Amino acid sequence: MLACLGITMGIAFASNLFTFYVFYEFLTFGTYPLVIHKQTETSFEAGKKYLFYSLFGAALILLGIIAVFWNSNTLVFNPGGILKQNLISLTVGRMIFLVFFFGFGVKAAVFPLHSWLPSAMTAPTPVSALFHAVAVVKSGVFAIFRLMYFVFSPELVKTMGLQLPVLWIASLTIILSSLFAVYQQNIKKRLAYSTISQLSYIVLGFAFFSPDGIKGALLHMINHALLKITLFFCVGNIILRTGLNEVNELNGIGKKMPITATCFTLASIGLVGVPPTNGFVSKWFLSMGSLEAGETVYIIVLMISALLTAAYLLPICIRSFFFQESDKIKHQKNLEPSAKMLVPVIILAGLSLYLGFYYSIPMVLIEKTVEILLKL
Amino acid sequence: MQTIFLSTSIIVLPLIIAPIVYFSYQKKSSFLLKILILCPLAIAFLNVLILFPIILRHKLVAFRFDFIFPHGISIYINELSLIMGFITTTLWLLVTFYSFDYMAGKNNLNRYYSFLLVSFTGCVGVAFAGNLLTQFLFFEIASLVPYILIIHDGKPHTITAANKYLYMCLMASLALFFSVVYTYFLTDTLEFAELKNLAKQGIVLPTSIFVSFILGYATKAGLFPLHIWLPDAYPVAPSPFGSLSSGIMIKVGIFGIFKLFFEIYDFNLINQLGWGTVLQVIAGITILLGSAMALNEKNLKKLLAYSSISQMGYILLGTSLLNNRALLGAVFHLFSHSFAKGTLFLCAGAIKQKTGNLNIDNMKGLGYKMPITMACFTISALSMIGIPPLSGFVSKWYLGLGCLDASMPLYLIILLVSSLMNAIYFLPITINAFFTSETQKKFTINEVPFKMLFSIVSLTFGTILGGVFRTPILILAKTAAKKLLI
Repeated sequence: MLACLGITMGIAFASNLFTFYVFYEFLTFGTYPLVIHKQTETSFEAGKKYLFYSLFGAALILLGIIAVFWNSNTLVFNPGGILKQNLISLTVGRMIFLVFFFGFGVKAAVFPLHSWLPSAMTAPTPVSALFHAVAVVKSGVFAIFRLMYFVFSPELVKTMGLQLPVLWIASLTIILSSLFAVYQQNIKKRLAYSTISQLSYIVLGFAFFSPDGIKGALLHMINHALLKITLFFCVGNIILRTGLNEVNELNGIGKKMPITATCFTLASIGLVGVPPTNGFVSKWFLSMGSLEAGETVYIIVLMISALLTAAYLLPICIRSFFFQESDKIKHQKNLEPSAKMLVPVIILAGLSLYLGFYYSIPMVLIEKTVEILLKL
Repeated sequence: MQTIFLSTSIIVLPLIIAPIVYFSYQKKSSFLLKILILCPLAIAFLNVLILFPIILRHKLVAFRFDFIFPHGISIYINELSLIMGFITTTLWLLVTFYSFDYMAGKNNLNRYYSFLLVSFTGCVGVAFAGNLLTQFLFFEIASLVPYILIIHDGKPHTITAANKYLYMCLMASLALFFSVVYTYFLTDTLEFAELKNLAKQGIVLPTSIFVSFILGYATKAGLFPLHIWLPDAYPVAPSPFGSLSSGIMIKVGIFGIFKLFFEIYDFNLINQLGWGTVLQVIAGITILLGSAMALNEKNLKKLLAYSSISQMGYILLGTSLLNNRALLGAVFHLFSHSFAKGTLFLCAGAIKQKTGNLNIDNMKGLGYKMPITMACFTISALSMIGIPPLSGFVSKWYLGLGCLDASMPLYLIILLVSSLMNAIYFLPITINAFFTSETQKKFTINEVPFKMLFSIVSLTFGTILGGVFRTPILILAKTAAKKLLI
């Protein structure tokens, strides 16, 4: 697990495409043992799927890297883009972009390359929380960010006519995976689909190529991480203490695990984007970004998704607080886990609320980034 | 400085007390804790009273905290917000006091009282908000937190009704979110004062913003055809909720429409574009439909719910006629309806508690056993019908004059028809309660406990005072109407 932390940091700090690629590959292999941790048949199956998808993505990325190097003789990221418009023909540019986009799209769980993520939920819950809600998938999204702003430049992507397809793929992912989440009864899988949809919020934000869009996307990277880890930790607590996996078994769990369920509820309304949680702030900036890009329609996509988010998360909260307890947990007195498991959840949930009111701390960094990116 | 302190404490104190109540309230709770619950509400009530002379001297309270939340928390109190603030604090204080007896012995009271306080902040915050985003924040609190009050008893059909409310509210808030973002994008400001200036300069926001605002607010206000959550939610929720919701929460939606008409858009423009007419028609339908549905309703709480829908139509009508006297009627009706309907719901709660039944056919002879409750019920019902000298008459008088000022006698007729229907569904209840001799021995009950009775009587007193005297409320309403139409 510690190794993976180093690798993820490596991805974040890599300054050229090759280093980036190396760490990116490491991440695949580093997280594989965690996916199959339980060593059951399903987990091996899921591990295989994960590996296959990732390697497929990696192959595409390698192809892209070679093409970029062949065209420009450098792989160092720079804010104006490695590939300049005068160096390559648009067709080649388009192909390189698509190869990269789908390569990175595997980890970012962009439709139709998302299906490894729900399967990988067989991993232990903390693993799901850290890697499949944050580290792995966020490196995919981060890679797409690098791709759009550092390998290519926003102008180039626009002239290639690829902004619209990216926006559409992201919107499609948002809506479809939210719909899948609504019908998913296994709670971890439901959260996995939710992750897929939220990741595409971020891709969408980047693809607007407008200041507020990038701000929203970067903010949402932080905010979604906080909220989703909170949700996964809460679910982990519930699974550990009761062994319940299905949404409709969770009736009355809030009466036995009040703190866990309260944090879960807070994170849920954060993900829906209700003020004053941090989810609202990123939704605000994303919507502004959409308008700056001259597109009203993506606000509606965000709104539909928010409604669907409410439809798949709030019933869990409602069940847990207001339904009669199921027989399994009726006679237990207190199911709340030990303090070590509660404190992180409380801190994370508190942080989400705090960032809803004072988002200026991450915002300072983000504004600098945006300044650098869009000046050029 | 003093006013900043006063208005901030109204909003912030309940939020501080709510978690304390949540963690310390027990089933057999001490006297001190009940005082603690009442404290922020009482302070809020006093603060509003102190603000009265300040606002009457035409001083506005406006300030903002820039350091939190996107675009800051901005507070702006004018005459209209103070009227909302006054009814909100009064009703909340009395209803909470009423709840001490009504809810006694029920489960989850810590949750009930703490979220009651939080939703107070939401409602009063909408009234005092000075920019769109602050208003949106409090609007969310005012619509989502009451969900916990509706679902209180946790029975399956309660949950169904409450979920309907929840999802409708979420849709409403998304519609509002769209409008708020879009408005900010186009005008680069969210402050009501600046938006009003822009509107005066002739800057027109697109129709989609207007429609989406109306959809959001109308859902909350229970206007046709978005009223469908209302008759379901009221009967299943505890009676104090009905009182607060009819009295205040749905008016929060109406208050948003006031802001929309007069501070985000220019009202002349709304008239020219024909939106005034469209909304008048919607108001007319809401009035008639609400009253008609109430006519053959047997469940008292449902009856009151339909009656509330029709009364919201009155206020929307007064607003969309866009002239001085109609607007005065609408603003004053905020006050008279909230007091009268608040009382009616509290009486319904008293009846429910004593007889366990809300069927209006079972209330024959009830006046002999619960004379004070039923007398207050009668007075409030008369105010709803619009009988002088009660405050409902004052609002209806100005609304009627407004209809004629706008040369729309049709709407006057609708008002009168609706009054007639009000009489048809309210009066049999009181007549049966007092003037039947046959079943008076059926009940072996007596009057409700003191706290409930006190709240009911005080609110009725307010209804009478508002009609008999030229109260500060009327003066404020007059200034408010005049200022909105500048």
